[in-house]
Amino acid sequence: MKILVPVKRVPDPATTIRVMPDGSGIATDNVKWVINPFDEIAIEEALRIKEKQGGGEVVLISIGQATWQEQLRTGLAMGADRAILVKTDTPLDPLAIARVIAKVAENEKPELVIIGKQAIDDDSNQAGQMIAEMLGWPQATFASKIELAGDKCTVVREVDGGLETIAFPLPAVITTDLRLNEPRYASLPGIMKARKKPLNEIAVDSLGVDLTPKLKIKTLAAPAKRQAGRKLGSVEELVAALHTEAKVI
Amino acid sequence: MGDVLVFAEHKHGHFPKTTLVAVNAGLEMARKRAGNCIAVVLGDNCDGLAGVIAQYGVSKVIALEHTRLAHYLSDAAAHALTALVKKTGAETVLATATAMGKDLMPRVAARLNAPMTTALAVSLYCRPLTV
Repeated sequence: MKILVPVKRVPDPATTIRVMPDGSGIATDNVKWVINPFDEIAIEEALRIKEKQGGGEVVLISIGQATWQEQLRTGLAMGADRAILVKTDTPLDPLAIARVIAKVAENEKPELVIIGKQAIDDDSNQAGQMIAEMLGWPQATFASKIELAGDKCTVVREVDGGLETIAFPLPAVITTDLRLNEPRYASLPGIMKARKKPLNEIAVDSLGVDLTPKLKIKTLAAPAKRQAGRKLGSVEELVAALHTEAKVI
Repeated sequence: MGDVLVFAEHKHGHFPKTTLVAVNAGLEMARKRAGNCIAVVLGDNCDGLAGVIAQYGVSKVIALEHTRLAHYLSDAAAHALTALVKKTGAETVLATATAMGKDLMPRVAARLNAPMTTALAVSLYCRPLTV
């Protein structure tokens, strides 16, 4: 089975993110870039399916600048077979991203697209669903368990207050949730092998899809600082404060 | 006129509180855009639900009934909601950022070729980032 896994490059969630003083974006100097953790789960799941089936191909795709190769190589080191880098210097909005991936999927004809449910930088949670719609495929979002049998797929989804199990025919799009698996680390031989695996670069314009942005980020701001708490001397004071200031009782 | 369509998510025969929050946001948005706030209920036999949501100040409730809408599934719901957006000519579509809303809305946005944003906060069109 051929599985396409879209991968996004995001700032390392373990580091502190600073917003530029003018609110135009985040400060990217000294930022460590990693694979979006949800996409890492998607790569892991694709590899497990391939290993279980004893064959197939895991193809990674990323849309960005030449430097994004680094994250694709990491994915190849984990075990993916090859990667496609769609090159663009301008950041694209979710609709354009989905259009590019859908176009590549039309050419590559995978049976499955497995993608992180959201990127941890902009938290859009849109690309997977949009790709499914553009291709006219079923979707299973927030997957915590995937089972394949022939051209049928059963997915357990994490929904509010419970789990939902859905079944659908392939091809389809699955978006991954946290509990789906624990991604492996790239092994040293894996890293060596990754250097020789094919990584094709294609220009975004060559795909002939509409990239006009529909969405514009006007400004970014850091979350408001939490105010310091204060100590009160007695229960009476606390009750008074809750009543007159917080107005909760 | 900037009509606002609110996808009124319901579960086990009632509207969770989040749906009412979305309706409230829809009312506020419609007021700002001098339009109507229309609630959309998708399901099978949802007369009762439509009656309930009608009590929350919306200008209109559209209940779309079909056996295939009895249980929420993204493609059927996206198909139905998109058709209603086109039919009503609504300017904005609102839904709750619940598992269902997040599953559904990007499909609707892609079908309409319209931009989408998530998690509207206190002031409309400002969204906080949370993980």
